Amino acid sequence: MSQPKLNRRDFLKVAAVGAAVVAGAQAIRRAEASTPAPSGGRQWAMVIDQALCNGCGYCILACRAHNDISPELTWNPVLEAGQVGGKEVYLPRPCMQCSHAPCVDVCPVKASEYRPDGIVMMDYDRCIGCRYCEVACPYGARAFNWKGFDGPNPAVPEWGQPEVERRPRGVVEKCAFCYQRIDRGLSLGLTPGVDPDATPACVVVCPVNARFFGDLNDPNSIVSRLLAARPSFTLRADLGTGPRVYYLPATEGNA
Amino acid sequence: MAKLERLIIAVVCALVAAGVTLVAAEAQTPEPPAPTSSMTADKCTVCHKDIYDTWQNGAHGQSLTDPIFISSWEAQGSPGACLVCHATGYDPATGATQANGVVCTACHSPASANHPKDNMPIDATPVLCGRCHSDPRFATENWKLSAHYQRNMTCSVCHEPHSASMKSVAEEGSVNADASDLCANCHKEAMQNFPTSKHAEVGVTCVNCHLGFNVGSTDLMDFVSTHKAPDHSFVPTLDTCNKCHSAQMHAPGAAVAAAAIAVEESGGTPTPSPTPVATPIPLVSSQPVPVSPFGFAGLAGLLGLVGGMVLSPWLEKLYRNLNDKEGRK
Repeated sequence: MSQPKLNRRDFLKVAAVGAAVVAGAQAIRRAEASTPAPSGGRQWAMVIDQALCNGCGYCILACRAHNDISPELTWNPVLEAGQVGGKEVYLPRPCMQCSHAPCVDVCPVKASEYRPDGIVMMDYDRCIGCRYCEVACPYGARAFNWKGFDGPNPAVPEWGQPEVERRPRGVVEKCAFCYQRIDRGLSLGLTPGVDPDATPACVVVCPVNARFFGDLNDPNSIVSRLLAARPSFTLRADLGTGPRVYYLPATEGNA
Repeated sequence: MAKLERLIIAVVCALVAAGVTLVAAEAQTPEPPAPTSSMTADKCTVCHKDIYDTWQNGAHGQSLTDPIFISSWEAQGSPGACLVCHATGYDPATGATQANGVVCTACHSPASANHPKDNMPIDATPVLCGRCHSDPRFATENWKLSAHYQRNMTCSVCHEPHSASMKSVAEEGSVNADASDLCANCHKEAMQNFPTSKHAEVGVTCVNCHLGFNVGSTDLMDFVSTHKAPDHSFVPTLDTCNKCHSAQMHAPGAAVAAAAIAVEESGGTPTPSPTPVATPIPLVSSQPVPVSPFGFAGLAGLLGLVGGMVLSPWLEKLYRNLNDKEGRK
């Protein structure tokens, strides 16, 4: 019984090869993960005019109804953002649909992915509820479904009809620009941002028309024209996440 | 041979089973709703039961069955003109209606034959509501004066069209029990001061002053008043203040204090009936007291004084000229 002897040199060789393989795999994985969202075709974006928003919260209610969200969760809160010129200013905060989304990078099971039109989509069947994405998101745009949501939705039917399946317990939920409305509208030949049936519910319901939606690659879309005409900002631009939600700031003059 | 027989039997069994399955499957294939224009509320109920439930008890669902409507309609000899709005698809030529009450297709029309793949149409602007809610009695003219209308807000911002009632945004622990919750939802700055005001203390809410009934009477059996609507300009008038404060209008301090005490004694609610003011108000008549001759004389004197001062250089010259002429003679 002669056992093959593993001398020191052989061991080091094997160890070096193994380390190289692991490092290589890691590098490939990282390169894959940090791939930004594709930028061709239609690129949906939202523009929110802070000078118009009065914090009524209709968007929250319409969002809950159309996406069948539990009343305990909010995908799309309206935050108070201090005062400008003695007037309260609000910051509606949907998911930013980042071009370099930290949530997509950290997801260990690829439940968060970019759609070709830039929407950061959740695959709720893949999500294992590890909540890494919730921690990674610098905007707090993700909500964890601690409890299953049973029973009637109090926002239905007054604020709209559910259009997507209710999520099960134990997944992280988020706004996806009402992708179901966009996709259905496009299949019917409608224009998202123009036809209400193809536009995110929060944009449609806004009583003061403070939200705008459209294609960034279309120079004639309302969002392209607004961004060209007025100064705008994105949230935490320093992080390099490339948000697709733009804000038109409230100033002393227009608040 | 036995093998061939077995095969034939098997094939026959298979064909029978397949045929039965086919027939059963055909029978169970659901028939799509008939794509006609006669979409009625019953058909919509198949999928939209929650909307139907809120609709049927609201003013739109009850538009033809409401006892107040029926009694005043019959009292007027059941005119067909009422059915233009109180029913759906009224044809004045035949007197026939498509459906009783304001049903789905009254607003969602023309019905899409390919629904639900195609959307049911809806014109979510005041134009659609204005097809019936257009009469001055529905305060449309006032509504067009309001800042809401001028900022392109639609009726459905405040009103839920299916239940034909106010929208509900009230959170738990809300202080207002009426539509004022809806006002407070947007007019947050006004609501920062209002709760500490005397008005809020005595239980006055936004709608008490900003939605006064300015058309129609309070008698619900009166035909005209059944169409009454609050003033949708949302601007309070002097009459609004007078509802509670008529006793305090231009009254001396004692009367204001008395009215305030009366409010407190009545359990914190403002007294709607005005208490007569004791102090006599100076009479103002269309025929004023004539001015005395001394007044006119005084006024004329003043005018003469001014005229003399202004014209004094020329007057002096004229006086000298006259004097010189007389001297030369």
